[in-house]
Amino acid sequence: MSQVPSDRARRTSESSRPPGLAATGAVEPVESDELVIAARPYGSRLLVGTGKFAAHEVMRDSLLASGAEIVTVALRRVDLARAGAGDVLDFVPPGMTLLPNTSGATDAAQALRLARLGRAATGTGLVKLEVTPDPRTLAPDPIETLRAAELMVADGFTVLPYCSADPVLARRLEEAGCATVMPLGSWIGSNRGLRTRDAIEAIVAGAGVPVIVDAGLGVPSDAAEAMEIGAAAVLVNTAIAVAADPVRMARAFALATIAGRLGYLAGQAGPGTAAAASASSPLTGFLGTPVQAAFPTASAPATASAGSAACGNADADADDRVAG
Amino acid sequence: MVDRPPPASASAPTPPTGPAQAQVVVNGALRVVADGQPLPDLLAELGLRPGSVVVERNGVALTPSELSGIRLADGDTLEIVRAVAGG
Repeated sequence: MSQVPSDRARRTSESSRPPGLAATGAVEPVESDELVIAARPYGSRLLVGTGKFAAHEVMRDSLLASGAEIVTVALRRVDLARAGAGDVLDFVPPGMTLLPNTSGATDAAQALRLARLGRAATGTGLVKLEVTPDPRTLAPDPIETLRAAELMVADGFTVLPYCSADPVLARRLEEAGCATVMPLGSWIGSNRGLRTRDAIEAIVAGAGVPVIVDAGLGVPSDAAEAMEIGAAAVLVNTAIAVAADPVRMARAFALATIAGRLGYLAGQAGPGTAAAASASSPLTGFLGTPVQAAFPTASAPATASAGSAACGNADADADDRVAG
Repeated sequence: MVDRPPPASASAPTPPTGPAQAQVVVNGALRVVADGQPLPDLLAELGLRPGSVVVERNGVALTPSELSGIRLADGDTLEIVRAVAGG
């Protein structure tokens, strides 16, 4: 006689496991929710930088694991003594969009010069504008960044500016014609997370272009948090590249970015008060409550009518407790 | 009698004979090339794969198609750059 497994056992047996993430679509790009930059759609809201990886092969595998469609590169003078050095572009998987940055620029003129070299190298007008004259913080120079943005827009570039988390500056960059704004979460490479949360929320509220949080996101939950407050995308490099297992971390950031985006799209209820809970389970039907308080019983026929009245009130009381 | 430096003209090198040469600056270093040398030839001499680098000549970034038609002239300043890993 074969044993019939209980419902519970059936549900948890290997052959009938719940479908899990694979069947929810959670690991796929969100349907019909593309990131649009300068009229071009992208399926992934995670942009990844190529710096700091221990080896080109690890970088390539991490880029693939991240699902990123836009990856940044820098431009540097060729060391003519080492002309045959490995070319990073050989390890960027085909189909990914290159986003050359202007790292190293300390003023608008240098940034424009680098942008033009980047355009010659990649054939696209996409540029990650960054002007960072302060070597200690690599904080973006807001004035030179705005100047550079104006020059680049006039020159036909699609400008994605790394900028301070400042809603006024973000507005000015947008008015200058930038395709996105990319405010920092914390200093470049610091892994300190979303230290600028309030300002990012203000930028998101006022922006008409995608807000991409760039710099400082240190753990996957930082990316999720940025997405939950309405960022259109995040750009991550150091946290992935310097992780003990960059490929796994790339996947973690990919999932966190999707999770945060779904959370944002789902509409969040917002926090309650710190002083009290709001029960998730019913506040009625507790075990051990006196039956006569809620229901008339045969053993108390004399109080049946009073009991009925009490019964009618009991639910109201319970409701009051929930509401209170 | 005080030694004086000789007049400049007295020690000027005789002009080179043979093919005309051009002095160019490549990534900050002076380099003598044949006047009119095609830029792609210089890149090949330097061991650089075409398409793996971009060149800025006298401050102007060259697209690959522009680069192929450039011939070097005396006084040219070249910056040869490439994409590298970066955020």
